Amino acid sequence: MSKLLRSFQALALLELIAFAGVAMAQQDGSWCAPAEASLRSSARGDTYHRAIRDLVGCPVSGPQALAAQWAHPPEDTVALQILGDASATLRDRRLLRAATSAALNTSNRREVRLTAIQALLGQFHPSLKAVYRTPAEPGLGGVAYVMLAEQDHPNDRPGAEPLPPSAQDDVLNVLRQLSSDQDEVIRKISDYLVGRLPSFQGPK
Amino acid sequence: MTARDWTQKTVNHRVEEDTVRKLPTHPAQPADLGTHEPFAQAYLPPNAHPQIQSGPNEGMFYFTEVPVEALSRIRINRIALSTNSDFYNLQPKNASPGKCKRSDVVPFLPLVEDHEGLTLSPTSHAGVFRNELNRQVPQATEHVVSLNDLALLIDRADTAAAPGIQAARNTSKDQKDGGTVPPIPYCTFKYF
Repeated sequence: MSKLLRSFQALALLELIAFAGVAMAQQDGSWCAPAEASLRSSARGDTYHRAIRDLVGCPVSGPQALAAQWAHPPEDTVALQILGDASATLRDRRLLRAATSAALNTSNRREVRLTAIQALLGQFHPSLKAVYRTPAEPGLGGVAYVMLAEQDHPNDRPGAEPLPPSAQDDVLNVLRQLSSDQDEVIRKISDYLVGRLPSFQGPK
Repeated sequence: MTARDWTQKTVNHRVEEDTVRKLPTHPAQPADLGTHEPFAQAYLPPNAHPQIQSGPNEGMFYFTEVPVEALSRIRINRIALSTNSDFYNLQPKNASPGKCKRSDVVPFLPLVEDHEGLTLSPTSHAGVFRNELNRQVPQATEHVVSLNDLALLIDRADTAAAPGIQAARNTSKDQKDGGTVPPIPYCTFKYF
């Protein structure tokens, strides 16, 4: 056997081992199917909250199931917050797409769009967190509406469909679009984030 | 003009446990057991941004309190760190030295609370964050003023506070990430 062929076979074996490693890491746990079923049966309240939290640990089925929720976001504020947090933690291109649509959809209520922006921040950088606040005076800029943090122990999880290399630029482009939104609060917050996010563009 | 001594003033910092956005029920990494999110930003402190009504500085806004509010948002995985949780049952009943066993799960809870800073221990994430903010930010924002423009006042406060806030965030990271918060000396858990 030629030296070249042996090298090729060794490389192919290494790739196979690496692929198997990724596939192993991307398996869903036993709790994923029941959580998905729970969402399909229109669970509400604590059952819904629990299902969303469980799906964070499901890299294969979780992103699809969570992304579907953004098409009909929950009315309940707590459920919406949990959906936003799960969608920021599980980093996957399907969630990037779903949160983008929800943020840009002007028929969604403001609370939904702001929560979708929080999900987008998680897709932008796993440490990045935002909380919204009510400004003390009218007429203030975006800095008065939002606080940012870098989480000390990032607990992001990669989904089965990795984010595209352009993910950070994609999020910035969405925020740039929202900087001219008809909703004043969304416009101000997005404008502020566009100015601040480049400082978080480190390793993802 | 002489700067006021603001070294004894403090940032409006609060600690809050987030009980809504709970950590994953099936922890995959140590960060799924507890987290600290150090928020800090400029704001208009209530009744502490007066405007000069007459004289050569008429119309000037200034601060009488530190124009930064901060929040340590802490999440503790109380579901996983409880008896008979899936995480509890994932651990072996008996373990080799250095590895955790089931009976090590619940005693870890108060250590996580302390490490993240629910008790504001001086070596916790929240404790270090608060101390560093108070050391770095008050004097750095003392000079901030604006003429007839509250939006500009808060923007200037944000710019003046930013380096101190960033330094406080960096200092309050774990030692392994370049900060000063020591690790929890404990056995090693098995994760999902």
